[in-house]
Amino acid sequence: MSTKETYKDSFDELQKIVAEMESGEIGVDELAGKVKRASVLIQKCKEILSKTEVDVQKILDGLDQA
Amino acid sequence: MPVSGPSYSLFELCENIKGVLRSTYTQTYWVRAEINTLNHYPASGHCYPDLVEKQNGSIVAQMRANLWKGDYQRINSTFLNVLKEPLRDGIKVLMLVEIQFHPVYGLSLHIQDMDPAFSLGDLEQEKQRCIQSLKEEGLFSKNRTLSKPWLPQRIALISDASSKGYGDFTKVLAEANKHWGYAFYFHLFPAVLQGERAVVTIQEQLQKIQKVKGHFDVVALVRGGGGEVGMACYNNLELNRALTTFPLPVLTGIGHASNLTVAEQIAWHNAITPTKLAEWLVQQFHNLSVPLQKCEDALAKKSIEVVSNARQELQHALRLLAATTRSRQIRHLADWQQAVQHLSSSARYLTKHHNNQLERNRQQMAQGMTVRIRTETLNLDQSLRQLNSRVKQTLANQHQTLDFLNSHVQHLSPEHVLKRGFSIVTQGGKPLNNTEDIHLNQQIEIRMFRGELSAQPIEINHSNEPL
Repeated sequence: MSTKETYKDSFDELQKIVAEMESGEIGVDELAGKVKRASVLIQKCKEILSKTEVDVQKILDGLDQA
Repeated sequence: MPVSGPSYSLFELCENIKGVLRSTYTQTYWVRAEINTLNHYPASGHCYPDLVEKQNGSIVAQMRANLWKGDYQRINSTFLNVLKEPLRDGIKVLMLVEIQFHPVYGLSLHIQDMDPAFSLGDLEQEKQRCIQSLKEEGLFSKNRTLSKPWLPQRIALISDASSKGYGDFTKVLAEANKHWGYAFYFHLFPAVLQGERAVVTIQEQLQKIQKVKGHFDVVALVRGGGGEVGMACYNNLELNRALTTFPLPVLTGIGHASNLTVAEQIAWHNAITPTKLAEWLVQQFHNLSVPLQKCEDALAKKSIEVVSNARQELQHALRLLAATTRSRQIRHLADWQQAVQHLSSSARYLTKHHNNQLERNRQQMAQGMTVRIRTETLNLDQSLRQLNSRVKQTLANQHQTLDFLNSHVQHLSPEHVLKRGFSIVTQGGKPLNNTEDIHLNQQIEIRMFRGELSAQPIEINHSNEPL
């Protein structure tokens, strides 16, 4: 799965949780679980924004190939 | 072939030609030509341009020229000012020339002035031609048809590390990383970014990036500082063809505020300056990050709200429960007290009632007992009396019966029978009461009331009839 899909899926799920909360569908019982899940999703999305997976060596190897 | 007529030395010929030219071309002329090569010598400051005229790509005229330091500096300055381009190779010019002939250097044009408006028009025409060609080839919008990089994070940066533009660009990205933790990766592909060499070096770098394109999200062409000159390279057809057909989105930040170059027009995204381009990249992160932050905030706010609502509901319920309990307690207490009173009065009544009943029963029973005892005593007395008389009666009757029986027994005794004249006959000790039992001629004993006798039967008359 690409980072884009990971991000999109995570963000969509996150928005769904927020929407559920805003519409008052989430009660105290589910709250802890939902918040926990949302934190994981937020963390996942933030990580994508704050990390780049670049293999510099591979770039350089690619450039050396004539 | 024999020499007929006069001969001239080369110098004499040259001098003659020089004289003819001078007498023929007495003034200066405006001439249109393309500077094939400018041949500027920085040491002396003079230029020795190679001028050409091309038709359908072929050179149809060519001539050397000279442009002295002073003229060059003045004209170049005007060009930079008007065209934003220096005097350079490949530019078409309208120049004021004086025709010169030198015995050693031959024919040349001495350039005295140039009309920048002509070159400007020509550059603009070249630009329009470039646009026209790209459109005809269907390439003008090609790069822009690439899908939006969802997160332009890995940047193939075509720039010059020593340029101000590069510094501005990387500074914004570094700040974005510092402030918001956004992770950018860029790899520099160094190139000359203005003037004629730009066309070649940028294309070389594009070819390099092509080999490793999988590692990048976008190509950024970043230039800035050093004045907005030498930008005509960005109207070059070859370069633009390479840019527009590049498989990654091409971003430009080459600092050209007005009159966009073709490269800026065909770019997937163009920003006025490198700083603005970097800010646009940061904005792409914001576009993802801000909704994320909003979600996070909403989540926190809503969580607090849900918990707080639940707490309020609970407190409300508790208050309600307490109030209800109190009122019920009071009501129950009243009910209870009433019940106790009721019970107690009932108990009192019942006790009293039962006591009365009991007393009545006791009295009735006592009375009943007395009567009964009396009755029973009377009955017993009477029974005793009856028994007594009956016993006496019975005894008397028994006595009478016994007396009667006694007398009867007395009458039946053998003595009494014998007395009355009856005898007992025996034979061999055995009493006889039937003649058939008597054996003839055997002695029989006869016992009478007084005395006994023996006799012998001689004759027997049997009779079946009893006596």
